[in-house]
Amino acid sequence: MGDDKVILVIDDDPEICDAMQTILEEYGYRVCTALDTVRGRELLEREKPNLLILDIMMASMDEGLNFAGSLKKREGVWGIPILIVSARPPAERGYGRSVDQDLDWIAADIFMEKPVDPEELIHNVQVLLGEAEAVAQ
Amino acid sequence: MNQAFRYRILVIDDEPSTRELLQMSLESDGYEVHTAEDGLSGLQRFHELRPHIVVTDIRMPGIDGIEVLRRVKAQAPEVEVIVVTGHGQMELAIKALQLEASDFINKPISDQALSVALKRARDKIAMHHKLQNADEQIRQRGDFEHRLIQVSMDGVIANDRRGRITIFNEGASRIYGYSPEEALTSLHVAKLYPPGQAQVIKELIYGRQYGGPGRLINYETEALHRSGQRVPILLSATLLYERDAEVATVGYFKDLTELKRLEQDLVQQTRMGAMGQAMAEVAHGVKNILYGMKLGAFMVDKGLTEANLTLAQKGWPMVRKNMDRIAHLTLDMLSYARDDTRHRQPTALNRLVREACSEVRGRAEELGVSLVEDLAEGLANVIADPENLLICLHNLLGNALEAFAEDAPDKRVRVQTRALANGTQLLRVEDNGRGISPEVQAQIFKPLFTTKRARGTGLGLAITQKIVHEHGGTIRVQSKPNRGTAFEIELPTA
Repeated sequence: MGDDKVILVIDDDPEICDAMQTILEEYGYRVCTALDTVRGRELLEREKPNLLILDIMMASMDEGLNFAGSLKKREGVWGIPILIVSARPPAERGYGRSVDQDLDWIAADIFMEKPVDPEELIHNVQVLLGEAEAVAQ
Repeated sequence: MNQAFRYRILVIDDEPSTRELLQMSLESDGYEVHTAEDGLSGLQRFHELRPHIVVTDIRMPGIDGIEVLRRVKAQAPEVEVIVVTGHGQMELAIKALQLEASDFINKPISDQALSVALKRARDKIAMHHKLQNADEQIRQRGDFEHRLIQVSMDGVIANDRRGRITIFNEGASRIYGYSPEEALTSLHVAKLYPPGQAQVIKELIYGRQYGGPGRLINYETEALHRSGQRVPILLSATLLYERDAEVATVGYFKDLTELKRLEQDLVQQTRMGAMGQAMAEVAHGVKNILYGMKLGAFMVDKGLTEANLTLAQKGWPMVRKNMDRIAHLTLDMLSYARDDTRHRQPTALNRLVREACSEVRGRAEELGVSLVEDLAEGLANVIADPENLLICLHNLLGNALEAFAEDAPDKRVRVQTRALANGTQLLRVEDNGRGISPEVQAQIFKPLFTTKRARGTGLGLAITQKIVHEHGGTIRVQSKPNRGTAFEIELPTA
């Protein structure tokens, strides 16, 4: 278990944040949550998390994608793996954006479409943190 | 005298001496001269020679000069006839002039009188030529315009004041199914439209609504096809006047059948597109709710399996809440889809506002929002379905109460009613919260648009707008980021 691993959850729904925190803590991770990307950026600097779970929302899809993209372009603590959760299927993830921009961040990440199965989510978290082998899809 | 053109003159006189005298005199003036010795042979010569001018003695045995004049004019009105009269034949001379002789000269013939008479005849011929040319031009132009009307893609129909059709082109045939011949002989203008419509159109032409009076521009109506079928048309018409008197009406008819079909296709496509989009949005909303539900259920499962009651207790409310959200979403969707206008009654707006405010006051206090009622006294009743208006109020108040950043120092929501000068009543729900960005404002009334994630169904404002519109009212939003938002509803009074 990853006692020393920190996961940052960014989701604008406080109840989802709570649930994610409870569940991930059950697996021994330390979890910090943010309701928006501004607060998320702060926690990223301060907590230096090992993984980001980011919800891409309809109302602020661009904001989320830009945020993820900006993280991928930078080094150091910013270069962490990102797990994206969205109600939009992957085929539509580039909604309103260019493919090039999307490829910046999507290549190394895992994209999960809602409703995400929590067990799969945990598995993907473990994969991204190097604690489990990826299952061939 | 013009050498290129020689006038041909036929002289008819039974007196050889007069004939010779005239021949000599006229030939020396450059005319081509022919002679005949009586009326009958004169008319024969006339047929052979087709002279420009006939000079005839009036008194002759057999066919006299008057008869010659009459027959020449009957056959060739353009030929000028000069009659030669003797002493005391003034009455005959007058009669000759009445029969359109160009002039008369008295015997004995003076050169001067002859030359004046001939000049006048020549002038009349020249004038006649000019007129003929002009006539020809007008005829050609008429032909051109006729062809223009015939080949026009639009239907062109003219009728006189009695409604008889005087122009009916091929375009009109295509729209109406009558041949031009049929239309011109047996169709009355009133039969061009469905019953009663011709009168309406007539009144519109005289009125000012469509570019008039005297004109009608781009009026959409229906034509009545020969088969009785109605054809959508775009009609323009104008009254034609002659010396200030109305003489005819001309209508220009554009067939809108194809356009209407395309329009309908487009509406259908848009509707299908909107429906597809709406379904995608519903699916999206449901997925968000299911996500929360799955997380909750996962906690419950894990808690029960591991006898971790705390975890199960944390998970269960999430399951419950998201079940409620699905229920809400379903009810909201039904309420948006329902078209229910049956329960309208005279309703006091202020009473509804007080009711709605008292229902949300508890929540307002929880959230630290001060809720202020600012209600105008003595308002007339509005005709409304009170239940539906309460839904609107709850939606607006609910949004307003959630419009604040958590740490905002001064949270205020104000509900205002006013009578407006235009006879409507204003309901205004105002907050001094976060405000709404212009991009979001543009989508705010769209069904299933939400900024509240699973907390909102995305239907509240769409339902509110629908109810307001069903009541014949209007709704608008004014907002400035970080300054606040105001929703204004205007409702008609009883």
